[in-house]
Amino acid sequence: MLYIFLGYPKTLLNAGGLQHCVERVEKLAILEHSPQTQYRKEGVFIPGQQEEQLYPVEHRLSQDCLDVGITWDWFPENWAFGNGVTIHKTTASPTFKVVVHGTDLNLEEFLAKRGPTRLAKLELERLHIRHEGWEKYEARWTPGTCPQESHIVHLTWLITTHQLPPFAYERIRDLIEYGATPKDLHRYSQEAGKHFSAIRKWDGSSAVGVRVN
Amino acid sequence: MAETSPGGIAFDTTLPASTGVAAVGVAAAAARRDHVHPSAVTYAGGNTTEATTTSTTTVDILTVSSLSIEAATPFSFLGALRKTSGSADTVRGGIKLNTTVIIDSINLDNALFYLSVVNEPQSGGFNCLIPPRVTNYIRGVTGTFSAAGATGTLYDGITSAMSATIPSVTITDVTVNGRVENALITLGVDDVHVYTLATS
Repeated sequence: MLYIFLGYPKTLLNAGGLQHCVERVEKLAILEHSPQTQYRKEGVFIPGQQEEQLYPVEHRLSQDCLDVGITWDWFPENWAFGNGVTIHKTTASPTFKVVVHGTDLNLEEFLAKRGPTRLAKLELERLHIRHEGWEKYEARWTPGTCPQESHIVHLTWLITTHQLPPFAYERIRDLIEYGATPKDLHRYSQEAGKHFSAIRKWDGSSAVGVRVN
Repeated sequence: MAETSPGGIAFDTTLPASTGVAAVGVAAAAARRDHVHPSAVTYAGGNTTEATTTSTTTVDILTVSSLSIEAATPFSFLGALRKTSGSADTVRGGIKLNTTVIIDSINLDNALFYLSVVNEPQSGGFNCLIPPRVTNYIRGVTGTFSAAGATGTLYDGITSAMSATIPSVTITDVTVNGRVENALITLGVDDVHVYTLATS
């Protein structure tokens, strides 16, 4: 069964660390690791050139995902969830254009069209260009929840062989979404990056679409 | 600070994110202008920690969405990758453009990258260049990758075979997919950036 949670685990456990926690340290679940099992939006498949669909996906999105507008429809066609544990990252940046207020013309286009204009009478504004890529991305969200700043969406999902009992689900949710402290920290590897990731800050600059011309 | 649009509709330009509510008004354009919503998924200035997986079948690891790259526009992308120790096995990566898997990480000779099987932490990078997708020119993917471990194990190669032709449509999503050959190792991908190239 597929369980999807919002955000990067607040404990900073990475996929390997979360798997170690869930399977070995706290023994909360048995994860699916078969190379013959691939979860996708459309169902569970045996992957490969002779791929075969096994059965429909059983999934559960956390309440935090639903609260910010990430529903099952947020995942586009042919989305691959694989198996095991994955901490996915999606980046998106809207494109803006500085235009003369009330028009969709930038200053040069405005002057070319209107001729000489007193600068004091002009008001500029930053207009969001709703191009095809942005419209497709925005359509994935429930209405009124799509962030319109450059942003990163982290999702953490686990694929288990069986449905989780409530106590195990709540414990995993607490580890990922609420930053609960993992038990027996001495049982995690000291190798840099093996179980815990280094936190890094984003400077807020555009993550995508740098045009060179 | 409230401003007034040409149609006379008032909207807030300074604190649109404080309420999370689009402006009320008859002018749809004016309403859209302060349609900026706060939420836990807006991480401006926040955490950009890596994407990781222990999946033994192909999984979408990192996606760059909201693009708009026309079919006639060449583009490239690059990224950083790493694997942890845990098993003497490799990790592999591939590409998905929009919803089409162009390179699947399922086969060794069919990957965006694959790393040495030496049981050690390794890190490296990859890049990929995709020329314009026009009639009869729909399989143009060139790329290289390399990675190394602490013992100096260098592994590199060229992105080769493809699983499918590139769609000759506007590219809106670039996804790096991948898998590990043994769930005891973790594959990490980060800092994927997409660049479009000028044609004139």
